[in-house]
Amino acid sequence: MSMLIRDITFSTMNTLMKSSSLRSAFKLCRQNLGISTVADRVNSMQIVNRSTTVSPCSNFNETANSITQNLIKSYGIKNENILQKVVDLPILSNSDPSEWRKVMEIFTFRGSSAIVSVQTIVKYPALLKLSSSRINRAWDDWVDCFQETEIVREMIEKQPIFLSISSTADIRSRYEQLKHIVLSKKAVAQILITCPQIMFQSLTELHNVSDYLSEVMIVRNAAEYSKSTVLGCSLQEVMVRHEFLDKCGKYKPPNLKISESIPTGNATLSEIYDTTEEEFACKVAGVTLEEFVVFQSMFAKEWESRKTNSDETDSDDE
Amino acid sequence: MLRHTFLSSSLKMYSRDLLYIPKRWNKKYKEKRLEKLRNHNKALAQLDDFYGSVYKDSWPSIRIALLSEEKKGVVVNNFSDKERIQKYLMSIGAYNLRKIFNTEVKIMNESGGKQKQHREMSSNIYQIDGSIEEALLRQKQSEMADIYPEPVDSKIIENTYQSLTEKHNEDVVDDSKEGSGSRDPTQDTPLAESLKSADYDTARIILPGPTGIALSASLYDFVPTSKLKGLDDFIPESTHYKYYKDVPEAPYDLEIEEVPQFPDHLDVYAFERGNCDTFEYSRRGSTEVFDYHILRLGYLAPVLALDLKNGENVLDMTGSNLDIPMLICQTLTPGLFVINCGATRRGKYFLRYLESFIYDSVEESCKFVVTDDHPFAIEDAGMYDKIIVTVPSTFDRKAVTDDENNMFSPSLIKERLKLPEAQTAVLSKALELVKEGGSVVYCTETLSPIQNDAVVQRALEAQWTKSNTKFTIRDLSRAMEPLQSFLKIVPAKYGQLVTPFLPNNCGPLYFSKLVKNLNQGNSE
Repeated sequence: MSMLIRDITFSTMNTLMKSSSLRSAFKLCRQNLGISTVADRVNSMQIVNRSTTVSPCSNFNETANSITQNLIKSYGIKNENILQKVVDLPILSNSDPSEWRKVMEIFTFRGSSAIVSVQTIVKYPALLKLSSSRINRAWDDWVDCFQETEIVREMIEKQPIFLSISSTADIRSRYEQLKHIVLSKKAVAQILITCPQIMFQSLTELHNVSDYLSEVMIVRNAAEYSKSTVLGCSLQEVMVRHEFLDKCGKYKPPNLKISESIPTGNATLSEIYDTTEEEFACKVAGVTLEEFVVFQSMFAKEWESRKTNSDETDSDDE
Repeated sequence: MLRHTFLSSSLKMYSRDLLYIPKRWNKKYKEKRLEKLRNHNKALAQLDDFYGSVYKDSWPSIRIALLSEEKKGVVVNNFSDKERIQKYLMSIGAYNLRKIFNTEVKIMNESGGKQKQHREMSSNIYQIDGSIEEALLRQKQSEMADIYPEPVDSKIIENTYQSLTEKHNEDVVDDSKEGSGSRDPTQDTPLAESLKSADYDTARIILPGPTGIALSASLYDFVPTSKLKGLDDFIPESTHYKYYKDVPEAPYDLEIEEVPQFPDHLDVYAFERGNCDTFEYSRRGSTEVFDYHILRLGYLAPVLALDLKNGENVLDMTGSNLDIPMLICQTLTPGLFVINCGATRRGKYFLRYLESFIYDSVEESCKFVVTDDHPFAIEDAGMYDKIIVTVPSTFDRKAVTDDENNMFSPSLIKERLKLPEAQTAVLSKALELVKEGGSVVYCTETLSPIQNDAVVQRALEAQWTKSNTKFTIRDLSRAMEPLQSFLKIVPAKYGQLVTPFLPNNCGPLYFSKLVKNLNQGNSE
C-alpha cells in the first residue's frame, strides 16, 4: 500500500508543482486511488427522467409550466404555498426541468429532504443556473472549512447564496476570522446564517469590527456574537450606536479584573444592534428618536473628517 | 539526554523572561490608566453620581448633549453692513430668532389654551428634595469609607444618618421655639466645669504603683480613634450638598413675568432645531468693524429676562464672557452699560474686542464702560436699574470635556466646595447695589441645584436678616415660552434652567430674576 501511494505521489508531482495547493493534491490522490468524493459521484450521475404522477391541486395555477409543476409534485411536495411561489417567480416556473432535477439531486444526495430542497431553490432561484460541478465544489469547500457535513447542510439550506461563492480563499479567510472570534463551528455557522453579508464584505471591515468589539467595547462572552448580527455591520454602524450609549452613560466597558459571570448591566449586543432606531433610542438608551437621529448626523460628519484626516496623514507619510 | 532537556527548558525560560514586558510599560494599559485619572473623567463620574439622582430619567439625554458640541448662534453687528449680513445668514439657512419669537408671542396671545400647557409644564418641575438627600447619604457613605478603611456596615451608616436627620429636625424645632441664637451646642465651658460633669470610664483608670499597672487589663485593650489629627483643613463634601438642604426660607413675593419684548435692534440668527452646523468666523465689513459675533445661544434667555428699557443703567457685575456684553450692546437700549471684569485682568481684552464691533463716533450714544474692580469693591449702590450676575460655577459643559481649569481637578477641590458661598456673596452684593424696583438676573453655567436655587435662597435670606429687604422672584416660565422652539427651558424652583438637549444643544444655564421691592425704606 505504501509503495502504491509513493508511486501515485511521484506521478502527480508535476501537477502538484503547478497547482501548489494541498487541496488539489488530495483530490488528485483520491482520483488516482479510485476514491471518489461526493461531488464527483453526484457530477457523474446520470439524470434520469422520473415518471410523474400528478395529483390535482385546487389552487395551483394551471397555466404555469406544467412540467416543472409535475416535477416538483413528483418529489411529494403538496404544499400550496411553495407551489404558488414557484408559479409566481418566472425564473422558477420557466426554467428547464433538467436544471431543477440537477439541483434537487444534489440536495437530496447531501441529505436534504425534498421539501427543504425546493424551499432552498425558491429562496435562491439563481441556483438553477449554476452548474452542478460549481455547486458541488462550493459545497465541498464549505465542508473542508468546517470539517462537518451536517452544520454545512443546515447553513446552506438557510443561506443557499453561499453556493455562489467560488473563491475558496474567501470562504477560508472569513471562516478562520470568525472562528478566531467565536471559537466554535456551530457559532460560526449561526453567525453566517444570521448575517450572510459577512461573506460579501471586505475582510478588513470584519477585522476592524471584531477588533472594536473586543478592544473598545470589551465583549468577553463569545456566545453574544452569534446571537446578534453585529459582525455583519460596518464599523461606522457599530461605532455610532456604541458611542451613543457610551455618551448617554448606558454602556460601561466591563472591568477585566471582575469575573465574567457577574452581570455588567450593559445592554447585550443583540439589544444594541438588532433593534430598530426607535427601539434602540427609547428602550436601550432612554432618550428620544430625534436625539439619536441628530447624533447620527453629527457622527457622520465627524466620521468624514476623521477619514479625510487619516487620508491626509497617509499621503504625508508617503 | 537529561542535560539536553534541562538546558532546552532553561533556555526557553530565559527567552520567555526576556520577552516578558511588565504591564506598567504597556502603552495601551498606561493610556487607559491615565485616561481614568483625567479631570474630565473625574468630573463625569461625579456628575453621573449626583445628577443621576437629581434628574433621573432625563440625565442620559442631558449627558449626551453635554458631551456633544454646543449649538451656536450669531448676533448681527448693528454697526456693520446689516442688510448684507442678514442676506448672507439667510442664504446659509439661518433663522432670525426675533421673527420667530414675535410669531410665537402672536400665537400665544391668539390661543388662550397655552395657559393650560403652561400649568402642565410647571407641574413637571423636577423633584429635587428627595434626590438631594440620596446624594447626601451616598456622599457620606463614600467619605466614611475613605476615612475608615475597614468596611463599614451599611446599617450603621443608615442609623447615623437617621439619627443626624432626627437631631437636625429637633434642632430646627427647638430653634423655632426658643428663637434664633438662644442655644449654641459648640459653646465653650471652662475645663474644670466640664470635668465635673464628665462621665468617666472607671475601668480605664490606671492606679498608681506597679500593682495598678499589672492589674490594669485596660492597657492591652484596643483603643479606638476618637479624633483624626492633621485634617484641620479637611472640608467634607457632604457639607457642600447640605448647602441646599439646610437653607432657611426667607420671605419673598412671587409674581408671574409677562412675555418681554424682543429688542427691535437685536438680530440673533441660528440654525433650525436638529441642525448642528457651525458659523464661519466673522469678517470686517465696509465700516471696518466685524459683521457678527458668534455666541452661545443659551445666553439670549437671561438677556431677554432682563427686559431692557431705553436709557437704563445696566451692570454686568462679573463679566465672565463676551456673549452677554455683546448682546446687551447690540440692543442699543442702555443709557450706561458697565462691564465689570471682576479683577480678572480681562478688561483690556474686553475693551479691544468691543471696540472692534463699535465705532468710536457712536460710543457716546450707547455708552459702555469696562472696569476691572472686584465685585465687592463696587460702591455705586442704587445706581443701576438692571444687574446681571454670571457667577463662577463648576461650568459643567467645560468640566466634562476639558482638563484645563477644570473645577473638578483635585487641586481645586476646596474652591469647588466653597463655590456656593462665594456665589451667595456676589449675588448678595448685586442685590444691595440694585435700585429699588430694579432687577437682578442671576446666572450660572451649571445644573447643580446647590449652586442655583440654593444660592438664590441663601442670598434672599442674607438680605432679609441683614437689612429686612424683601425681593420679588419673577416666575419666568410664561415669559420664556416663545423661546422653547430653539431652547429647552425647564422651570426650576426660583428660576429657569436652559437644559442641554441634543437637537437644541444649549446650556446648561440657570437664571433667576429678582426684583427689589419698592418703598423698603418707608416700611422700616
